[in-house]
Amino acid sequence: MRSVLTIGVTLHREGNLSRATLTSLQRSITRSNTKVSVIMAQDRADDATLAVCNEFAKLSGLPCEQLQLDFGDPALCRNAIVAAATARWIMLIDGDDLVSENYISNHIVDAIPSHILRPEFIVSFGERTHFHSQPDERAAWVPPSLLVEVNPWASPLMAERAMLLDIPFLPVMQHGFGFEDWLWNADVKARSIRNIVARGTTYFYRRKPARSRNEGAIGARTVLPSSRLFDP
Amino acid sequence: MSTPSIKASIRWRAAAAWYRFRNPILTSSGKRWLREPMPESVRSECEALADLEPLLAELVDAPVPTHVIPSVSRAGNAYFRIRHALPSDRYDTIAFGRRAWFEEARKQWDGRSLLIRPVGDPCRSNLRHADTIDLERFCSGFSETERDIMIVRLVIQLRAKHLRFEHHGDDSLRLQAYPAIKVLISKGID
Repeated sequence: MRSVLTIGVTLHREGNLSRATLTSLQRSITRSNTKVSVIMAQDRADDATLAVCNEFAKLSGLPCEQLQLDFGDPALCRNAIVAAATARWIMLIDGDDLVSENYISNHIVDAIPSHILRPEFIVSFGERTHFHSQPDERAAWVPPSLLVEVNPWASPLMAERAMLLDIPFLPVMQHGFGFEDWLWNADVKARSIRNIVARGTTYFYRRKPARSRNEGAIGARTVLPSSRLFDP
Repeated sequence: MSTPSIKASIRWRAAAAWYRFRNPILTSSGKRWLREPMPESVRSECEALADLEPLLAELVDAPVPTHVIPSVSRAGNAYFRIRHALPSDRYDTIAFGRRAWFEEARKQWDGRSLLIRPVGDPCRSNLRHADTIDLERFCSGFSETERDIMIVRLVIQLRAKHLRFEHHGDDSLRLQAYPAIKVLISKGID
């Protein structure tokens, strides 16, 4: 039987940190009692990260696929997951973050076709600590102009594969720009696709002092490229 | 004797300080930062995951700052409200719609200088002091219209960093810390 959901984990040089990610994911999969498959996208991953992935693939008992990639770009890495996935729904998470136990079950319960699902709460931890709830466009209006200055939604999401094929992530880093997830959010907003939250779910977002792509992009003083959302 | 730009800067800072005093939970970018307990479900999840990630254990009992994205604040649309609350903010109207935003920005941009108020949350901006942007790279592959939009967008980001925007005639733009309210755009980029 084909899985309902493919979970794509983007991995790079997370090493042992990815063990906590995959363990929290397995905990959430077990609670959801749903047939899921896992794709571990290893983009120029180091040996420590590959070892954790191999261990997870052997011991988890889940259908796992390991993609060996050489992009050095999270956007292309996500697109590769989408291309390899077979389920109708795809969930994307980063290889050093953690998810709450109800994460997968609540995403499945709250899923609506042609919508993007987001975790309700984001808890940042590590170098910086704060939490916030993400906007649900069923309940609140998020003006397009807000995306000029703020990225209202963090990168983790669940959406239909067809939508992710139709609106791929753009490899902006290669052109000196940044924040592929912010640009994707703007492109999605331009198509009037709504972001909704999976109620009660929490995503634990690791803020690293260095080596993270996000911090690297901020440090490199990147700017967001042009999006259809900002067209006159 | 103070120059007009210094006087204007002092007036703006005083107005912004007064606004923040009257609206203590709003920052100048419209974000609200609060210190309040995390929801019980989030807190217990931190506790449950503490074995996997000891850093989460530290959050269980600590007051964790949170921010509310302005467009969904319970007080209404703070993003617009704060811009309107700032006295004589010439950039107010750009937030009303894509076409209006672009046209207004074009109207105000005389090709040489544009008055921009230094509002915004400095830590959210992607641009840092004393940075150089390669205009050719910044605008490559875009039509003239798109390029204009991108420059306007760049200026909006600069506004958040109190930066001056100078053209050095070598296709690079030098950004410098500038405490006043004026952002200069050279004719050379048109």
